Amino acid sequence: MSQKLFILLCFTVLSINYSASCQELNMETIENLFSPALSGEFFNSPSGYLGSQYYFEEWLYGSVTLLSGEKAINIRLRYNGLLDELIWMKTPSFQQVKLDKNLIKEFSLDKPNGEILTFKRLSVVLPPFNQKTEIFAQALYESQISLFAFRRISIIGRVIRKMETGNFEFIEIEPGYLYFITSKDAKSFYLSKISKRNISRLFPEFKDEINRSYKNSRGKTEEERFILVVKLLNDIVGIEPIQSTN
Amino acid sequence: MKNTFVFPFIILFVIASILNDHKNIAVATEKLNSESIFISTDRNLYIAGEYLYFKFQRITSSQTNINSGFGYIVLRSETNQIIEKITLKLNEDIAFGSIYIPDTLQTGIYQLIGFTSWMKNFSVHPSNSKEILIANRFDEELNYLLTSKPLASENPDLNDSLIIQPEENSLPKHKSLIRISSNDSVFSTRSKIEVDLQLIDLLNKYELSISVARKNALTGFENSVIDFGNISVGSDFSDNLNLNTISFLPEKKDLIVSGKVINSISGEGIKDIIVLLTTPDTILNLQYSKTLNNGNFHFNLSPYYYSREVYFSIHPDYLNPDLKIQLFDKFDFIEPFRPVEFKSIPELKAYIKESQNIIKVQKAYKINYNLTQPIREQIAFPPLLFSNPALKILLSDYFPLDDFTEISRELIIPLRIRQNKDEIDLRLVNQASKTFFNKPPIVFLDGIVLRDFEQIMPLGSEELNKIEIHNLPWVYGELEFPGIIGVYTTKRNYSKADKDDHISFFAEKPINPSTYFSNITKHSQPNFHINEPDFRQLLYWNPSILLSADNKNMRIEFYSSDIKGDFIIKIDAISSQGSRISESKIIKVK
Repeated sequence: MSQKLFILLCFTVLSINYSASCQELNMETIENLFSPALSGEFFNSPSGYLGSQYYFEEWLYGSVTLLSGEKAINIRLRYNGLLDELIWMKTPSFQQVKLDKNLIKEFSLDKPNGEILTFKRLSVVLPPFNQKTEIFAQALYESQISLFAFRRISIIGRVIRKMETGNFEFIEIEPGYLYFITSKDAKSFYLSKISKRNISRLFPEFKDEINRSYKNSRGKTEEERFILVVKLLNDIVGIEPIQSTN
Repeated sequence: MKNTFVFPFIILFVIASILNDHKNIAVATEKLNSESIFISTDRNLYIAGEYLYFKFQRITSSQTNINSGFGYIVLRSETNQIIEKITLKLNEDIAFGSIYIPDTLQTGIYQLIGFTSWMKNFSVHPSNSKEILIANRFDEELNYLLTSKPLASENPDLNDSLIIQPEENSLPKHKSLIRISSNDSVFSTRSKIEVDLQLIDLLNKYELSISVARKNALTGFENSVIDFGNISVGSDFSDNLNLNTISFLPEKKDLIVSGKVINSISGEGIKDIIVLLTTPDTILNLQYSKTLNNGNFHFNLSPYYYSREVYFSIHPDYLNPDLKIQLFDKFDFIEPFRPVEFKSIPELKAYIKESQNIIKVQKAYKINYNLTQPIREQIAFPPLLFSNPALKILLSDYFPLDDFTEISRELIIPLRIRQNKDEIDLRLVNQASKTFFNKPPIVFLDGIVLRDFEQIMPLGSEELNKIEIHNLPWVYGELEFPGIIGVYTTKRNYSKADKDDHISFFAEKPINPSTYFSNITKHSQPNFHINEPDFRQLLYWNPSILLSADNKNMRIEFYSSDIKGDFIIKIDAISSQGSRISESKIIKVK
């Protein structure tokens, strides 16, 4: 019995030792040495809000492309629409980091259903002050005429809630998306509410085509119908869509 | 019972470890052949002051997954002195360019070595090098040529050795794989010469270089088919190699700088040490690397650092003064250069003397056939530590203050400085929590990491230009900083930053191609002045021509110069199977 046990132990030791020392070197091992350094500030989500501050409440895996061209992949991310900031969950400490927005070119979020949402840093004029601002906007369709959605979370009011320890004021928030239509000649328009009428006002010369597109896309969401209209407008001018970098 | 098991168990573990280490070293050595370099040049003999044109071609096995995107070429002397070193950006495994041969070189045999970062893990095989003869322009005695030595061909390792073998009929004959023909065999001076290349071996593709130069400058090669089978058929490099058995990594997209952190007393490599890399600039840039089990570290150098002096330092959190950084020098060769021996011929001395005079005339008249390729500079984005500091102070905006303590007291509200006899303690107030950080911030002086804060204390408004304070709990990759301070001097005297804690090196910018030989002569120009001398000894050089079944014929055109005599059209080619061939044809200019 003891001899058998000894042989078994010997075999186990040799196997462990062999596998431990033979961590193979391949391009993946080398590339893993050089993951880009994301920079930002330790972050705690602001409290006192009623409603979610995030476009997706759950942490999603995704990638971040820096202005340097480096790309950090397979990291946990969350987009805070209230602050318009990208939050990274640093591993293995699981601390949250608000990434330095000005160093990010774009990022993507991989939804569990396989859909990849691409956000790009855009310089746009935002209401109500009409000042040029850098925002993260989701690329819904990219071509000569592109469509982006600014997934902002807006404050709609303040409420006082009675709690066990007293009355507390909360800030009510809810999604207030803005849609930007940009063209290659640097013109951009935004829409806070998408409807057939609003889109037709933007492109009066294509009113008939827009109407037709709306007719053919019954059952789809307003956003999906808007994407189809933008695609149609690009088809009219004969431009192929730009391949996403993600 | 307990001892009976434990003791053999330990012995077995130790034996297994040793066996595995030996196996890894053995495997690493066997990988010598997984990547190889073929160097061809426009000539084999040069006069100091001339340009040498080279082609660098990387050859690999189809099975390997090494994808080196960069190569290195070195010119070294018989005394192993590095004369020139160039970092090359490979374009589909090929790079070409030129080397100016310094006037001060002594007459002798020199070696061109081609290698990649990955190949530096193994010894330099002679097939990756080429030897050339360089004669000093002012060496009238040429005593070097008088020493009679055995022929290079006696050394089986040297495939392209310099053999001074001028006899036309002594060249060995073999079946031509690429046929060279010209519109005539005898040409007058300043006449147009047309050369046709025809691929005979239609089963392979050939990447070739072609040169047309004076016979004596091109002697030393043989018409030969040399099978590089052993070089190109290497197995996959990943088998059992690991990061602890190699010092240099293959460079695919960017240059990689490697080194080691050692304990200067024991000499042992220390693991898990953070090494920082910065360059002096007006913005805070940073790359970092963590040492592996053997103490080695590797940086994937951002293109921003190309053509800059970069500084390496150990993260200030590590207080052990015995930790030292060693950089691995890719241009450091363990193998000494053992030059090929050659037998001189009587007319060689006369040829060199004539060439010396030609070069002197060309120098006097500033005649230059070397053209520089305009390089389109791409601005690389720096690896910034942060985009905008929380607080920026321009000293010129304020009344002058005597030293850094006074500046901090008057202008930098979030900074607290405490000076004891032995040390200076800096602390920033966390902008988010409004409390002091429990550790000192990281401080940069003109972009260089500072370990000793003493050095910034005497600096006042006259010496300082700008101070950046970033008092946020900052994350940079795996690193965490309790605030960041950037101090910038007016005279950028960062060299004063404690030099003992830093090691620096100049990051050469990879080039391809930077320079090339002008094959267009003035003879073809309508306004060419007939009295202008044309003493070109190299009539044509094209480093990259591809012949295949689809493109099996090619015609090249060039003009003869005022020099009369025999010229050789020489082709060096590598087939898609990894075989190397040389072909040649002699033409006369009368």
